Amino acid sequence: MMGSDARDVMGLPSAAPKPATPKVQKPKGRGPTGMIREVLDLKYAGAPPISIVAPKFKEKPKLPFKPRQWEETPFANSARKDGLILRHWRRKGDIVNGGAAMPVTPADSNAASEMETDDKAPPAVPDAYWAKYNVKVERPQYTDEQYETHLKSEDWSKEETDYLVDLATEFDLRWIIIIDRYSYTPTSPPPNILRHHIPQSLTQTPNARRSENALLRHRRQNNAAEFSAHEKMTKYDGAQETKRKKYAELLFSRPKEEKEEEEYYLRELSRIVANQEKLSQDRKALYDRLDAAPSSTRDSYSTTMYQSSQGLTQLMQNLFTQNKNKELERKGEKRRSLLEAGEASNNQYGADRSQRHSLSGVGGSNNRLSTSADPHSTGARRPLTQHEERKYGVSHPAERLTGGIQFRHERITKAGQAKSGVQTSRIGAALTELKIPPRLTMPTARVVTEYERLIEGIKGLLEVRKVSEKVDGEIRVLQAQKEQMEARERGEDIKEEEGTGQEVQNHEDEEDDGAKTQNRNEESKVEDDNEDDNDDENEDEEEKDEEKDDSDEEANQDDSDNNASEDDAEGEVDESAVAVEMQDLQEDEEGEAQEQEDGDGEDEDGEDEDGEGENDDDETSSRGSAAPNARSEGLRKRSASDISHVSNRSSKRQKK
Amino acid sequence: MATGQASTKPPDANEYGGDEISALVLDPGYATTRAGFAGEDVPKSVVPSHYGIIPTDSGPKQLFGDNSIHTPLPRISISNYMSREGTVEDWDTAANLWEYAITSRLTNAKPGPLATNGLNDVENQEMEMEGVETQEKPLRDNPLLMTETGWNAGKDRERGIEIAMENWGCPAYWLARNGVLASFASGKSSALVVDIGASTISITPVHDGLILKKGVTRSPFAGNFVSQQLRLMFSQSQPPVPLTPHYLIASKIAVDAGTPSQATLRTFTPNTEPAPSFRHFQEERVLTEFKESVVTVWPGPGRLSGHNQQGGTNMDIARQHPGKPFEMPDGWNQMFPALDRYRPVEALFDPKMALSDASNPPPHQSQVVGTLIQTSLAQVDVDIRPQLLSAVVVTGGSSLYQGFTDRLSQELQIMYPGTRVRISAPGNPVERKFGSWIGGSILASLGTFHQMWISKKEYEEQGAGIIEKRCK
Repeated sequence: MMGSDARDVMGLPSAAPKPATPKVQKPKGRGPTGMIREVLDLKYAGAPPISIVAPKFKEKPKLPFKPRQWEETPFANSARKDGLILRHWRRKGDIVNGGAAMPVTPADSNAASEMETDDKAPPAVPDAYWAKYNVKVERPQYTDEQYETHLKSEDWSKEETDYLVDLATEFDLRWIIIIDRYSYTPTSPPPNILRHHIPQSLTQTPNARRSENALLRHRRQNNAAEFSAHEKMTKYDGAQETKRKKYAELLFSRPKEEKEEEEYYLRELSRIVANQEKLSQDRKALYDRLDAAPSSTRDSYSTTMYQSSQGLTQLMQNLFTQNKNKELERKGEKRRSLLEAGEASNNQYGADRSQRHSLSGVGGSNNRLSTSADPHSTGARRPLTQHEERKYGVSHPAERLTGGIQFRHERITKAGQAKSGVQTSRIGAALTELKIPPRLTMPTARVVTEYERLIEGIKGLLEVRKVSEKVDGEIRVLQAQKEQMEARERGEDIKEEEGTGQEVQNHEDEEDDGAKTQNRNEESKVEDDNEDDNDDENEDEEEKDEEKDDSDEEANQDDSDNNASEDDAEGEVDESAVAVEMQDLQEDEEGEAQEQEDGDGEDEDGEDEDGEGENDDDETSSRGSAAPNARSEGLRKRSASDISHVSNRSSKRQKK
Repeated sequence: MATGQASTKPPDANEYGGDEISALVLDPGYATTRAGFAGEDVPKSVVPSHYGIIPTDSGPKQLFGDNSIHTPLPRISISNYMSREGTVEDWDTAANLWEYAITSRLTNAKPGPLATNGLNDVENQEMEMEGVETQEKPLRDNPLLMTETGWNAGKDRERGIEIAMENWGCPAYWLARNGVLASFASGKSSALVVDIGASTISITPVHDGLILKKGVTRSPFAGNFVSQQLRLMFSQSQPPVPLTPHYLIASKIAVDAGTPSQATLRTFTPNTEPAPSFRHFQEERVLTEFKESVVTVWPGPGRLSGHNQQGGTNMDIARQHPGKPFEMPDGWNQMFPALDRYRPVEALFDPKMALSDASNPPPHQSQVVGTLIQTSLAQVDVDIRPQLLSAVVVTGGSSLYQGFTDRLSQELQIMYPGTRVRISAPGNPVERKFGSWIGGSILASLGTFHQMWISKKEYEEQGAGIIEKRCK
């Protein structure tokens, strides 16, 4: 290669004798094949390692088509009156501008001189495509006469009007340029006057006016808006325009502060509007959620909702969330099955969960699952351990839940209320005796259930006490009757007895003090008995009344009744009453053997003798009240441990 | 060439509106004269508007083009056919230079038939006929679009068409305002064109493709003024900065910064030295280099002479900015501190910062860019002022100082705080330098422009006065 290049440069003929010789020698020398060329060269010394290649040019590419030629085509533009012929390059054989090559008739005659000099110009020159864009404003024509009658103005000469109309035509009514270029006199009039003159002169020519009148008639009948627009265009109000310019000037040259203030207000406005929109949207969403059940059933039957693009997007979103929920469900199922494999105890729980899932899906609150997915909870939910469930108060009620929210304090107050006011107050009294506040300090689910159980117990005890008192009363009545009958047999006067009884009754009605009645009880035993009888009768009557109306008086009366049958002060009386109740409750329950024995003894006592029974009551009260006290204390402890547990948890969480 | 395939098919008229008729665009300016074919994106022929004159036996000879005017020929002098106001002063030379610009690069003499191309002619035979052939008009086939400044008026406007029609035989001619063309180059039909040229700064409000004559403002404090500032700065500094043009250096050796140069200068035989104008012109080239590499615009905020929010002067801040080294053709070099870099061009915005001496007065407050724009806008209808301010087109080679458009934008925002100011200046220096030529190239290649040309026939019928009627 090098050799040939050098020869080319030197201009030597390529068929030099020297390179020819090795070419001849080589085939001879190359006898033994399989040897490296360099080694061969060593053997046949003097053979230059060059090969001669004839110079070759790059081949001309063979195109599959024949190139079309371009030619410089002359053309004329019909928008020109002088018939100027210009040339542009066009493909040979192209039909110019997609139309027939039509002869330019007006240009032909004018362009004669041009064509004479231009020997190449064809007889018919195609028209330019662009001529159609030559649009001009029509200049209003008026004669001197018409000017005199219609356009004459004191400020304007006809010449100047002509000049103005010419200028307006020339600049296609672009007023900014007309005003800029207006130079009829060195001191041209103020722009507004200029403009004021023009529409008049353009519209007041007879032709224009005639056509305009017809137009106005037509428009007045048809379209008010169109008419007003036309009015605005034709009736140029110079004064208003001057004012407007003044304001525009002020606006243009206002300081930065004003602009910023305006921007601030605009921003605020947009913010308020956006907020309002958001609020109304939220509200709407809330309403939608409230009406979800009926609307969903309705929507499933009609497709009108999905005919708008908004409805479609909503549908898509719904489907999307449903899909997502299904996916979540599947993931949860998988995890659950894994857990089930590990722990059989979780079986019940998993079933509950899936049930709850389906429930929430029906309820329409499934949106929360997908929308409130914060970055930490990635889709599938972690099943809670039993401990955590207890902590978070997760319950899996077997019975069907009622809709809506329930508050535990509602449950508490509900439990504390009985049918009658007396009963309620009695329950309250029992609770105060047990030192359980009417409003629980820590109403956890378990505390509340225990509380409910306690109340149930109290109620039962109260019921039992009522029955027992009734029976007592009957016994006393019967005893009294027996005594009366015995007395009759002895021949005593009954009327006296009745009188004293009535006196006592009246006395009791007048003053509600239990202490005095107690004293009297101590004074005479017979009287006491009678009194008791009367009391019992009264109580029965009162109990009937109580069901009709719950008044404080009656409650007090009731209390005083209790007081009358007992020795101690009010607090102690209550305590003993509750003790009795508790005792009876334990009787009913029959759970604990010890208490049952006590109760049996008590029952016997109560039946035998009133005074002793009362004493016994006092005794048992200390014991009986101890039991519920212990129970309530246990509750308290448990709730306290719960509190400490929760607080520990919360503190741990805070640490995290 | 680079477009490859696209050249085989003409662009669809509907999508581009072009219909080229091989028109030429000629855009004369004080520094350069630009010429090229319409439809191209860059002028093919960029010729300095300065020309050389050498005295010969048969009278002075004119030299055109970069290749000839930079050679220190015996007794060469340099002058410019343009006046400092940006309008043509020396029409005869202008015609020669324009013809040179067009024919040297664009329309070479076409190879005629062998029988008549003159190469095979026997000497002294049929001299007359040969003369006829050489008299062939150079622009017989090309319509010509020329540009003019916004303040060009009167007879000057008519000379162009006379030369084009009479001397060159153009079939059609058009004269367009360079402000309008610059706004077209930015794709706008309405704009406020800020043209920072070599000799003039001009503000031209353009509305719907027509200039608003009353709003045209200009001042002579432009690129050359900055060069003058540099000269003053060099001479006033201690020690003075030597300004030796390239052609005077025979050889040089590298010297340390600030030390005197050790170059040997070229000597000329007596009476063959180039004229002082040649030296001045060559010094300008060095200064141009300096302007391109060292000079930069104070980035703000505020003016260089002003104070900042902390209470210090901006001059103090500028002193902390980095300097830039520059080496003169004779090897002398120095690190120019930032203040020297900011100061020469700061005078375009702030007359207080201008250096001056007896023969070089500082600009008046009304002659700096900001005030010029203000004056211009005040002359324009208030309705279109915001529209113009939202389309400020910056063009011209002297607008290429680093940070110029940012500073201009700042100044305008301070002047018009209530309006949105938006400056559109092409980042490409070529597009900035040849803005008006590119606009002319777009305009002359449009199909809808065919009906606008002033044809030779119209010229013959109505005379040169047709320019006043047609080219508004």
